[in-house]
Amino acid sequence: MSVARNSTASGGKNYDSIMKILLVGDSGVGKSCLLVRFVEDRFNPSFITTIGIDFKIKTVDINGKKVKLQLWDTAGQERFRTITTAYYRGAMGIILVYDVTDERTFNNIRQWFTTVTEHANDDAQLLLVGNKSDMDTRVVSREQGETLAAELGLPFVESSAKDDDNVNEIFFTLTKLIQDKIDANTVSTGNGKGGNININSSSAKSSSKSNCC
Amino acid sequence: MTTAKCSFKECGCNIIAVDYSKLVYLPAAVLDDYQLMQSTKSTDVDVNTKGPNTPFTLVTDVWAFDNIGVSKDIPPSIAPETGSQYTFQYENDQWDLVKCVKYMICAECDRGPIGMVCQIMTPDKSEEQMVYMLSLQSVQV
Repeated sequence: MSVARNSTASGGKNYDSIMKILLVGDSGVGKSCLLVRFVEDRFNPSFITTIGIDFKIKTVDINGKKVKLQLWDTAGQERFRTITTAYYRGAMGIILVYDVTDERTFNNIRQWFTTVTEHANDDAQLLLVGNKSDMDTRVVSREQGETLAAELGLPFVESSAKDDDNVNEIFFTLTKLIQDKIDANTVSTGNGKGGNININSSSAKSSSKSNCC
Repeated sequence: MTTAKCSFKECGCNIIAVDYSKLVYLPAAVLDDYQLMQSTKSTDVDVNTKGPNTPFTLVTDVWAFDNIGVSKDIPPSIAPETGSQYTFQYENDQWDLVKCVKYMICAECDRGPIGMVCQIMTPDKSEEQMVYMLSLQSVQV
């Protein structure tokens, strides 16, 4: 699916930039919960839960710019290792998620990191997330998460999908990292008009992969 | 232009800017046939809501939405029953609503469905396209 269409039915575009963001990690780490709540009530009908969510679009304000995010979840495909290169294509942000109550999912992050760096764009911004931090059955400490993040050169946050503000904060943090990178690039390539950003532009690609500070 | 918002007060998430000059109207039975949520709070929608038709805002590009959740393809086993073929006017052409392919929900609170992604076709089947139809009776405008 193309993520670089600028027109809308109502005429000109109503955003400054758009970003495709992916959630990856083992099954059961709560990736879906970062995207969809499983609260069922009269207006959260079970047939929607059954069908599942393909993606969400969320708009955030970053440095005065209206940024539209398209958030994708692998939704179980990881069980069959069938996540294709197509899934990673065009992704500007990738969230690697593990479950702090399940050490196996934490240990598998290295594998996910390898897969992601193989398939994703070189300039994709990664973020490591330790999910379910509200659970008292935690086995992976915050320090362990921080250590791994430092080793892989990734920014790191812990999250609880039960807390909406916290979840939105994750998307905001990642988006800001990407937007800052775009802004820096736009300036350095000398075509900074401070306005529209063409994410298809190959000149916007950064040669640097490191996110380490 | 007005912004359509989630009809639940505790949510109120911005969904899309509605261009009133480009609304499409379908027979109100479409809401039940396609199991769309019907908000009781959107009674101040356009007066045209009253009567046999219900308004939708139709866009061809999903990026027109500020915040929206889009479901996966609806499997045939739970595809909505469509009592009749729906026909509507859109940009001076007549279109048939062929199939509801996906549902749309609020991106914040996940309530809905508030709209659908539909395959539409001209009656002579010469043109076909996929469109996003947000039911204004399922949101606050």
